[in-house]
Amino acid sequence: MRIAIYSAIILFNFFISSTWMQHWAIGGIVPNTTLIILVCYALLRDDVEGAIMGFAAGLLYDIFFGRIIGVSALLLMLTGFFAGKPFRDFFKDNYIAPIIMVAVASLTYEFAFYILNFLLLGRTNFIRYLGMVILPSTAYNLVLAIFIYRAIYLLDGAISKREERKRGFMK
Amino acid sequence: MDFLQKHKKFFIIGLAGLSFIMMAFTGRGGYQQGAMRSSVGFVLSHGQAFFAGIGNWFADRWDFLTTMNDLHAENTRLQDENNQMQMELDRMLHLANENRMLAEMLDLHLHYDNYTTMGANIIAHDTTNWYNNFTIDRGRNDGITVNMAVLAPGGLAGRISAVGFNYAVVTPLFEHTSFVAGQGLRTGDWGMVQGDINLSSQGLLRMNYLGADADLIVGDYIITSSVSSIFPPGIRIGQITDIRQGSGGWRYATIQPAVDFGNLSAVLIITDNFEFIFESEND
Repeated sequence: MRIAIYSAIILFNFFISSTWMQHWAIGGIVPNTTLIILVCYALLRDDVEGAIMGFAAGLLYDIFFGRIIGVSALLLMLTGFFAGKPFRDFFKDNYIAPIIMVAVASLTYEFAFYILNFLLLGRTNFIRYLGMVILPSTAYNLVLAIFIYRAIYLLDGAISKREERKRGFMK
Repeated sequence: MDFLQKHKKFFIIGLAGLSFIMMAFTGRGGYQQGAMRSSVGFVLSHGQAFFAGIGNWFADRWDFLTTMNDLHAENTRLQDENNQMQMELDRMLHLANENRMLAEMLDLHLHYDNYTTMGANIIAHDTTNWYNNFTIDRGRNDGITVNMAVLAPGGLAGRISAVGFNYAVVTPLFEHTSFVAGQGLRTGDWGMVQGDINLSSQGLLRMNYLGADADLIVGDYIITSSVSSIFPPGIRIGQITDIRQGSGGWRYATIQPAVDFGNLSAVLIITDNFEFIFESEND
């Protein structure tokens, strides 16, 4: 059940972000919905689920767009894993934890992406990339994170309730 | 889940190791087309085509609603332009015939007389902000190979950088991994046209390595150069908007591309591979 829903979310997100998202770009910057989704899951569920989702979504991107398979898979997997670490106990209907976590994760992820894909190719103008790509996309992610977190929170609540009811019958 | 939670250190290290193994296998060379990419890409590109279709339908309706008022004026303008183009074309055909005749007299070989082209729809864009590659709905199946030139209304749009069974990845001109040898239409001065992340956000390209004696001015048209190893010569790239002193004694120009990348939904691929022709004629 969970696996089917997670796969559907990852696939749907991949299709939407590679096709429709381009129409919603602001100043040429598109949000990283994959990152937001897996951070939300890492917070709501646990670090291992965040890692699995990150690995799957990253692999999908690498296979279709990437030059080297495994780079995004590794980065997103680690992002999902560490995003589940710091906030163990928090009120899950509060937005502060997801917003902080999405900001930190976006900055770290984009920075790591820059190092792996650009710095190693000799493109050393970090300040320019920071201003042109990293900061704008982080800001866009923050705004979207509020809505996506709410949606996932509701969806996850519904699934958990269903699972609990099932477990109750089984006993 | 409990099992994974209990052994999560091993699990995470295992996934990381798996990533590294995949990187090691696919790291050499460019974009390789293994069995995994072929099969997954085959399925994914169909899904993307479906979503892109829905998206384009809405975009078209929206376009129609927002531009309806201007259509009449634009139509008149286009008709005028068309008449003028027709006259120009007649003149050009005359010159082309003359050119061919003269070339035959001189026994020159014109190998880029006619291109065969193929239309393709754009189905998906790279999802990160770091790359601007997009995919089209034609692939190896349709005879597409890497490094074919991609055209769009106006001129050159980019090149094919990877090919799947039923899709291909296009690297557009303003991508920072794109390099095209260009020359001024008026003077023939040479330069390297490449994408630049600073300029591409303003929709501009950068033409590097202009020599000290290059006689280019603002407003000059830039076309693909005959020294290019993959592009057929004479395709319009854009128009110079500014020339500046760069580092290392070189000057560089900023170029307004001829193609409007913002509203691109279909492209044209030149299916003759010029890379091959040049190589075979050298020996």
